[in-house]
Amino acid sequence: MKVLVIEDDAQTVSFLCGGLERSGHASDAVRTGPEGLHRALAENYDALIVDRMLPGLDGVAVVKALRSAGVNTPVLFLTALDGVADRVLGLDAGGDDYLVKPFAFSELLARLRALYRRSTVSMDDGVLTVGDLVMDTRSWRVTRQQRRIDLQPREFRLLEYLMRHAGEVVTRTMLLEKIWDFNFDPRTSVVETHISRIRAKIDRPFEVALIRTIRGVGYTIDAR
Amino acid sequence: MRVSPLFRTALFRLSLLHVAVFLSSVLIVAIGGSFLVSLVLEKEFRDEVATEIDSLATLTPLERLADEIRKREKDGEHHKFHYLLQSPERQVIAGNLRAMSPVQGWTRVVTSKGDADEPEISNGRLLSAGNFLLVTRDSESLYESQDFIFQMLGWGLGLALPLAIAGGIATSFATLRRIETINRATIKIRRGDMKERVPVSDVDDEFNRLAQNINAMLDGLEELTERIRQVTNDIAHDLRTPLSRLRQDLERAQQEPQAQTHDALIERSIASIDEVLDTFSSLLRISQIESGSGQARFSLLDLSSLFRELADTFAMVAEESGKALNCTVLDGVQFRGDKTLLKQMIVNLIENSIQHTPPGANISVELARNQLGVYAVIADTGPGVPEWAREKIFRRFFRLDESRGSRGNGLGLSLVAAIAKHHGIALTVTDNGPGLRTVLRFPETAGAGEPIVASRPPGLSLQPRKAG
Repeated sequence: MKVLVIEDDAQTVSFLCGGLERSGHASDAVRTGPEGLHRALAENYDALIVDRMLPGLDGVAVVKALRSAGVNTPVLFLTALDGVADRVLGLDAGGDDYLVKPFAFSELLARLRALYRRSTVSMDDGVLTVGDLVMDTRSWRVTRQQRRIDLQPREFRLLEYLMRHAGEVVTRTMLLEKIWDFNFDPRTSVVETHISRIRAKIDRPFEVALIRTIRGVGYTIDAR
Repeated sequence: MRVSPLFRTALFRLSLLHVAVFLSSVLIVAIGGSFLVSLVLEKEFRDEVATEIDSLATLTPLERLADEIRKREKDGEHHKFHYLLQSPERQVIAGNLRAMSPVQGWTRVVTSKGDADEPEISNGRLLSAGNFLLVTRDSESLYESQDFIFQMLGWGLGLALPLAIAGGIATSFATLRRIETINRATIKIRRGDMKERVPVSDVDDEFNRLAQNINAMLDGLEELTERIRQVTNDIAHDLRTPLSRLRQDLERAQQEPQAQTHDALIERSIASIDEVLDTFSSLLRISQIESGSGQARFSLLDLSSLFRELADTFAMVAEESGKALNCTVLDGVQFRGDKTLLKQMIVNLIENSIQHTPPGANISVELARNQLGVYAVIADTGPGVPEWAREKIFRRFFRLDESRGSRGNGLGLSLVAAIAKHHGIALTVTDNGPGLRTVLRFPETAGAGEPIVASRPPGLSLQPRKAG
């Protein structure tokens, strides 16, 4: 994955670019809005990381300009502004995801991968498969080793999200945002409880567990 | 203190105004009075003249009239009158006045008979055969009494002026002294003595009301400052714990040569920092909501499904820790509000119940409607909150039991209070006997939010309202 980082804070840039490099991704970094717009138009990137507050031209303006120029590269906004209004503004401008500073690098990477995948995967036939676990999102049927598994609607949506990102790490925050639409951190173990419910249904009765916990980051589902 | 020139002081201007008003009113009364007095006096004189001339004019023949006039001229009783009886040829027949051209009716004639040369009140009458009779009355006393009135007026004014000045200064001074006390109090407060108050008297006048209002305003300000000070202290105190833990961990990492312990120390350090950041973002969120700038994002939302969805999610969480969560939700309740914030408010309340109850407790979530409107109840059968603390639990950083060491930054319920206020929702905490019972009463009328009930229970007649 080749990522363009548009961010004016030098320390954040080295944190981002260093991390991306260590996880095997190429990255370019620019410091100002106009520069970022120029680079994003001139070159082909797989994803953009854009700070909301930039010298010259702010992040929202950059993304608006990119979108009106027909560039559909996924954009992840970074911001120190933690307000719901700011989040909505960023997403309305054409951003695809939104991350509030400070953040864990693992969180950023998971979101970036999810964005990248969303932009490359074409429409599927509605059937998701991870090993012997099969989900038909149209008939709301889940089976494992041909055995029918009953899931509640929310459990279904949670499993669907995990399976759509099979092999990738999905963070707790991502799940809270996508499944519950929570823009805050609950004090109780909402995600853990629901994951353990799903595990009890799709993993515990079988020999091989598909859902794995990535400590301190989130969860992943794969057939290994 | 700066000494202002005399004419610029309010004292001088007020006193001057006072004197001017006093003097003009005295003048008006005095002039009006003297005018009236002379009017009355003149009327009396004319009556006398009229009676006198009437008694003479009827006398005939002319000789008898002339005799009567001569008699009266010598008579002490009639000495205040002067008479003239002249023939058509202007020959004086009787009387002690000089001949003149006849004037019928009221006139004033200078007789040179009295001490002064003032014209006297006279009445002339033409008699038969062209003879002319005139009676004048000595009018000196009229002029004298007028003079006397004006003299008295002068004296009165002379005496009244200093009195007016003194009175003006005294009233102005009394007024200004009360303003000055208010001034002095505010100066003290401005210098930092927030305890100072404007003295209040027993008289319920404008100054007292001003003083009371200023004091009420100061009470509000003092409370606000106190709260800000309290919150600042709390923040400092609250951050000290994670920050000192962080410092200790970093110091240990520096001292310990074994790299294997570093991972654990770093992880703990990150957790400490996250705690600090969490406190900050909660505080920011609260103040953002309290500033009340977010009403533009209000939309009509289905409160029933919001409650049901959240109760559903947290029923599982409660079950996991051995508690039961029941929910009763009235269908089709809609409300104008910020969905994200309302969600957080309900979640914080439910989580508060889950976190502060022992296993086996019951938690209930209810959305219903009675004649007062739509309300929600989040109640539990836990230890509850003692009465003295029920107001305080919504304050920033207030924790009922520090030693319990439960997770949370003491801001969750402050956020609930801020969100409720933002939406005009009345928030009350009562005893659930046992446990805690929090009631949210949603506003009915237009304003911050408006609950709309699509399916109403029978028997309640309500204003028909279209459900969106």
